[in-house]
Amino acid sequence: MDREVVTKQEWLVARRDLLTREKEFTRQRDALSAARRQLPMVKIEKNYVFEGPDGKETLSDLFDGRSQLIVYHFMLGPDWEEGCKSCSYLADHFDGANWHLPHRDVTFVVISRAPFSKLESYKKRMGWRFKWLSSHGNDFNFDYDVSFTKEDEKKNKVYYNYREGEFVSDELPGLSVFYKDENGDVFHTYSAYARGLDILVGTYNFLDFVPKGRDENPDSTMDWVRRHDQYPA
Amino acid sequence: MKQKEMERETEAREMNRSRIVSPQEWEAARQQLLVKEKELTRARDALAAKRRRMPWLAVKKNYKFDGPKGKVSLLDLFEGRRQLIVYRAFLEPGVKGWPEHACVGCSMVADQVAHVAHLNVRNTELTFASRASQKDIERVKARMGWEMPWYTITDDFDKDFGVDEWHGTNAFIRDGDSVFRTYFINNRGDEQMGNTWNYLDITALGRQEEWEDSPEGYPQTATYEWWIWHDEPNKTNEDRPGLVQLRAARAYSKGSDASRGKKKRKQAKTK
Repeated sequence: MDREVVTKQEWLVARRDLLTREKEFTRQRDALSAARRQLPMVKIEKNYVFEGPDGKETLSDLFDGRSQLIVYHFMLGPDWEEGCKSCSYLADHFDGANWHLPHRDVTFVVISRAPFSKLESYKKRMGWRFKWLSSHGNDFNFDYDVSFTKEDEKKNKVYYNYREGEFVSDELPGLSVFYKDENGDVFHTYSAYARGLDILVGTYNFLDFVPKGRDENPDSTMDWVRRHDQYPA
Repeated sequence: MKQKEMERETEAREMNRSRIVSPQEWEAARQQLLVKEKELTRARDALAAKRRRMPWLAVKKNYKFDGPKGKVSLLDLFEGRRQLIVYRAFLEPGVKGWPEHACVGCSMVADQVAHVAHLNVRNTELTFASRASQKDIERVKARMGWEMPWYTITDDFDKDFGVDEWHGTNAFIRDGDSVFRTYFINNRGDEQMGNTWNYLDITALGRQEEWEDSPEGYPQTATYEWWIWHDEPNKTNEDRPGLVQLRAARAYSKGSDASRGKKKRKQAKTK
């Protein structure tokens, strides 16, 4: 491994130099978050009904008394045997944040297209606490560009992450944010896909601190990831 | 208790209604933002690339920690892995919340550590370290449902690695039995490890803190003061110990940001 071992004084010089860049980045990130808060919103006219641990619930019900709702679109299609391993990796990070999100007026839920019973058994296996609902039989996943039809597959053309591309899978990852006003109207404010979800992976944030970094294959970044109960001992 | 919530709702009501647009207009605005987001993602990748090129500093002292199985060395904390990350959490007598809790911010960081299997499989060990005894650490961990390794500092480790008075994260690498310090971060740098901030940054209202550049009328409260211990019964009580501690810690942080002078920092010390 390429390395450069130096004195404490030299190390501090290098570290301070990096810190200047890190602070620049933190400010850039704050500015980007400010731009997100300037995004306009779209009123939701459809009445989506989901099935979850509390029975049938509408999108509006999911806010659970709060004004903001984050939905993680978890890749688990109706015919799938188990949840996507990379979504499972992301989901290992949900419960910790979710202790705190309700205290900033945010309700967090996970939605997949598989029937509810399938979600329940996989959730139990993985030891997760977050609320996970099924959009089985409604258009929700298709409307937010994370599920794709047989027709899309045949045409080999899908709209994902705000552009047209080739068909990859009947399910893809994403996250959507909704806002509910005082009249009970619900609005879509934000969706992110692909590497837009990178900031939600705490494990990556830790790995970005260590000398070897994420140490990933650039053509297949998450190929080392397993479900947390499937890593070799 | 409900007062603050009601104020927040009133503020939210006053949010600019002109933001409601057609799906086509939203799409156009989203596309524009996506360009900026991609820029930032690349900037982040470039920054991480710089970190991988940081020089290494040999660790020569033989630091000792108390662990669940007795005395161990810094080398032992690697658990045989190549890399080690040590988060210095404040859990000890004199810290607000003691003996039930670690510091409220450190507790929030601990809440957000995901299953460590994903780090371990990248040859990386993540460990917390505090001054409290193993018995106390075990008790707080069990109550809060935390599962990461957590050691007791017994010597100058905290002082030597910049974490005797303030939280921070050190990264080390091992070459055989030789240990090197590669990285250290504290203050807002530690935010990177908390998903709660990342989630809030994608919501319409943001973190809802007063420093943020938000559209007119968005709810905003004092920075950090909404932080809680996740098992606190009175989460909005003004006198709760967590809030008292946060206010003191913020005053300290401002002091240490403004001046690196040791004397000034000592005076502002709140823990």
